[in-house]
Parts: sequence; C-alpha cells; structure tokens
Amino acid sequence: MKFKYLEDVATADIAFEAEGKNLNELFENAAFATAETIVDTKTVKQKILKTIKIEEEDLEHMLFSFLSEIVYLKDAESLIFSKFEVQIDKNKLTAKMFGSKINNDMDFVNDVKAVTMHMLKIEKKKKILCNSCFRYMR
Amino acid sequence: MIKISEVTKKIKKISDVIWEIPKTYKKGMNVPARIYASDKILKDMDKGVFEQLTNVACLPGIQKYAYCMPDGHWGYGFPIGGVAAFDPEKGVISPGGIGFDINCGMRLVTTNLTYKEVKPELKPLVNLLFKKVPAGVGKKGFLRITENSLKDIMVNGASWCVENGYGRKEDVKRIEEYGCIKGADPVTVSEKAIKRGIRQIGTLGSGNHYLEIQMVTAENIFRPKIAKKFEITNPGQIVVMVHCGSRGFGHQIGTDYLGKFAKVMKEIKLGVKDRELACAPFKSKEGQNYYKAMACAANMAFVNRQMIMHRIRESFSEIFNREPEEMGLNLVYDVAHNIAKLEKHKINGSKKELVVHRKGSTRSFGPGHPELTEIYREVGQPVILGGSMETGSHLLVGTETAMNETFGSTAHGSGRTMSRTKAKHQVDGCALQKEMEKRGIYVKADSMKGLAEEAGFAYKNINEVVEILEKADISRTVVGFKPIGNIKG
Repeated sequence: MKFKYLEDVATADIAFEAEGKNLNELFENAAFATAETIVDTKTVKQKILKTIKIEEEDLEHMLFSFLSEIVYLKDAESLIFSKFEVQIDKNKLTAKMFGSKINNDMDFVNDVKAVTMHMLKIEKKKKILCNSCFRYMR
Repeated sequence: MIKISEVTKKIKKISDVIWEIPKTYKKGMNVPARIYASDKILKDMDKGVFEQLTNVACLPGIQKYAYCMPDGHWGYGFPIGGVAAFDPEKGVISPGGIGFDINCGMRLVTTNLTYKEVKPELKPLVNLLFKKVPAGVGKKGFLRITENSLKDIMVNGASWCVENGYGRKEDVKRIEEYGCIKGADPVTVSEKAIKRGIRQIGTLGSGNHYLEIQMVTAENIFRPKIAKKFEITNPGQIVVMVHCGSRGFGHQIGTDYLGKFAKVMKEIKLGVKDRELACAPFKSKEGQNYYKAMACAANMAFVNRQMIMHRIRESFSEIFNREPEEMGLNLVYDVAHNIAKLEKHKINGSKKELVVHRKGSTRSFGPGHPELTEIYREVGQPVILGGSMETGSHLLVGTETAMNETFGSTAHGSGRTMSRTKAKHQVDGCALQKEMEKRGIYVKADSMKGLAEEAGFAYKNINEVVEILEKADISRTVVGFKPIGNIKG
C-alpha cells in the first residue's frame, strides 16, 4: 500500500500522503492510511463486508466524505476495516470495505476523531495521483 | 508557505511577552494579530502559526486582534491557542475556530487525602480507574440511555447528571456556564452524531486526553490565599485532573458542519484563505444551526466529564473503603477550551456582545465578573492548565487584564512542540512506561504507540508558558501539580 506519514506538519495531528496508479487505487490507499492511523491493520481480520456509496460535487469532498465514513463507522457500528475496494464513476463512489467488529485481538494506535481538509489536495503527477491530507487527533 | 524571515521583519515587539503582526502584513487582514510569547517561545513556535493566525485576522467581523496564546502551535484553520471575537451582526462563526472536539476541556477534583495515604494504593487505584473510565478506540461508557435522554443531555447539560444521581448539587455551580450553554437545539444535530456518541458518555478517548492523579508540593503553592479558596491547603494533598471532550458526538457535528459551510460559502461567495476556516455569517440560518448544534455537543461534554468524575468518586470509595464525601472529592472547576460563546466585552469603552472563539484557549474571567459563580467571584475564575504526563500541570486564576486585553482568555496547556509521528519514532511506549514508573508515575494506557506520542519531550515547558501568562497578567498561577498516576487512551 502506497502511503507515507508526514513528520513535520500539523503538530498535534497526523498527516499522510498517499498515491495510486489511478483514482480508485489512490482512494483505496488513502482509506488504508486512515485505517493504519487507527489500528495495526495486520490485526484486523476481514470477516465483514460493508458497502458504502457516496456522491459529492468534487473529488476532494468525495475523499473527505469517504474517509470520514471510516471514522464514523468505527464509533457508530464498532467496525474496523483493513481492505478497501473503490470504484469511482464521475461524482459517485462505491466502496467495498472488509473488516471486523472491534475486538481484543486488534492492536490500536489512535482513536481518530475526524478527517480535516487541512492541505487536502489531489494532484496528478506523471500519471500517478497523489494526495495529502490530515486526520485530526486532539 | 510563509518564510519566518518575512514575519520577523514585520513583527513588532509590544512588550517582553506581546508581539504584533500588523495589518499590512497580508492582504485582506481586518485586524492585526497578537502573539503572547517570550523571545524563546516565539522563536520555537511552528511557523504555520503565523500563517494561520493572519488568515484568522482576515475573517469578516473580527474585533480588535486575532490572538495566539503562548502554548500555541500549528493546527488546521485556526492555530491551537487561538482566540478571536466576532461581531454577531457582521461577523462569522467558524467550526475551525472551535475544533472538532467541541468543548474539549479540563476538570479538577480535590481530595483531603495525602500522598502518604494514596501511595500504597496507587496501582490498584489507577487500575480500577482504567477499568471504570474506558479509554481508547471503541470503548463504551457504562451509561445506557435512550435517544430522548441524550436529547435531554444536549439541552440541559450537567444538571441532567445531578437529577439522575450522578453528582452533587454544588457540582453544577463549579462548571463554566453552570454546565449548560443556552440555545442548544437537538434538531440541528444529525442522526449520525447521535449514533456515534450515544454509548460514549463516560469515556476518555485517546490522543492527549487523560485522567491524572496529581500531588501538591510545598514549593508549588504560589498563592496560598487563593489556593485555600480552591480548597488546596496542604503539601502532599492529592487531586485528580481530567482532560477530554464531547467524543465522537462532537467530532461528527464538526465534520457535518464543515461540509455544510463549504456549500454556504460557495453560495454567498465568501472566500477565505484556508478551507479549514470554513465559516458562515453568525446570524445566517446555517450559522445559527451550527451554534445550536455546537451547544448540544458542549453540554454533552460537560456531562461526559461529570460522569467521569462520578466514576472517580466511586473508584476512590472502593479502594479506600470510605464514602466519597469523607475524602472530599470536591469539584474545583470545569473549563471548556474548545468553544465559541456569546460574551459581553469592552470595545472602544462600551460593552458589546461578541461571539468569542477559543480553540485551545481557556476563559480567564477576573475577580468580580457577574457571570462567575459566587464561590469564586471575589478571587476570579479558576483556570486549569494541563501539562504533559511527565512534567505537571497548573491551576491559575483569571484576571482583569485578560478582560481588558484578550476577551477574558488565556492558555490551555503547555502546547505540543513536536509532531505525533516524530515523537513516536523517538521513543518506545513500553520503555517510556517503565521509565516513568521508576520516577514515581504509574501510567496505564490502552495503546503503547499512543503513549509514545504523548512523551514529555513532545511538549513545551509548562513553566515557561506560565511565566509568560504571569508577565502578561492574563492569568496568575495559584498551584502547580506533579503527576503520580495517569490513564490514557
């Protein structure tokens, strides 16, 4: 999975940059980065499939809403995911998310509160898409 | 990104601890920006603070100055440690000026127990608290309530707890706004926020949130007369400090309205310098709805901290086999440090109602303020400054200077100086836990990686922050506390 944490941005928050060969893969990797911020995903078995659909005016708001949904499901349905399959069609996104209900086998890192739009950007670089955004921790 | 040299060239020294960035610094600034800092703290401040603070100064209807407190650091939208007040008629309300964790705040509880009495029971006490006050991802609180009860909580705040047997009558008098911000309306809160928050009351969360057992030492009682008023009288006395907020409930409200405001701003063509500064005119329908939803989250947070205090009282009672009242376990005060409120402040000599945003800043009302509880009106409002888990915290008191200079606001903690990702790479959580135990601080954490992020070296020196507050006289320290036991997410 292609993402990296950024060390020197947003002191009290966690920032990452993800990339992918196409939009679908970029969104999958950004979702995986979000999951890794919450938990060591190696400890999350893929027992449950949850499918979500999102419609937004632009790609950046779509990414914001998609990642926010992962944070929402953690609290509202006690669901943690470790694999994502994303299909984007213009302004519509369908994501298949694989994971489990929260359990004692999971090695947690941080209870992510929210996704922010701080420096959220989707860029096309030599056919590779790149994004950086931040999850707010405080 | 702004280069630091560009800022320092234009920054004006107003006093030893006040610095001003003039309106001419950036196009669109409606007011100058002011930073409370020593030379050293200013030099070490994240450079993003200057950019973010001057962006805040560009928002419509902002009054006097955009402020940053000495514990300030780079956030998103507003810097953490930011204070800004807006004209309710011409100005805005901004979720980025409050934070996702609406009414994140501090609570301080005193006991009449001494370190000598608590030390032999410290481990069982911390272990029991860790069980009774759940921390970390996915933890649920002991309270099982219906959606209607949650709506009662949103509207009535802390008094709901007292009515339902989770507190003493006098507790409510010792909470900012008496534990209830007026104007809350559950209609403005999404179903999603309710689903996220309904089982989280009485939980700590993670990150920098904590419950800490602390002790008073003789050399840390700085103003004994006021300390006595706050029921802190003896060296060795044990107190309990809590830092947390409105949990997923408030976070969801922040997320919901960030999206809504983006659309409103597009419609009314309100441009801002940073998307995280999303805002709406305070008097607009959306602005009002956010304020009402924010008040719901703020009241939920007061309840969350009250329920945690209830569990603290139960835990002490179980360990020491005494009624909670016999050990005191009285609330000193509960303060909000991520909030927007309607408050009256002096503008050009006359009092005016303003929408005061505090993001990582504590209210610091001085002696005689009519909104202060009678118990503290003579001395001023207690201000609780949470430090890192390794170094200690302070209890301060509000001042008249804060009323005149900073819309009655001061700092909220020591403030981070190193990013979470960097801190985690520098220390191992397990090793830190063992090392702290050797130094007499027993820590229980849900996540060892999370613990590493909270290492003392990732924070500014709290005593330097307090020194600046004293010099600027926007609050005065009363007592300092040393940590001896801590639970974290």
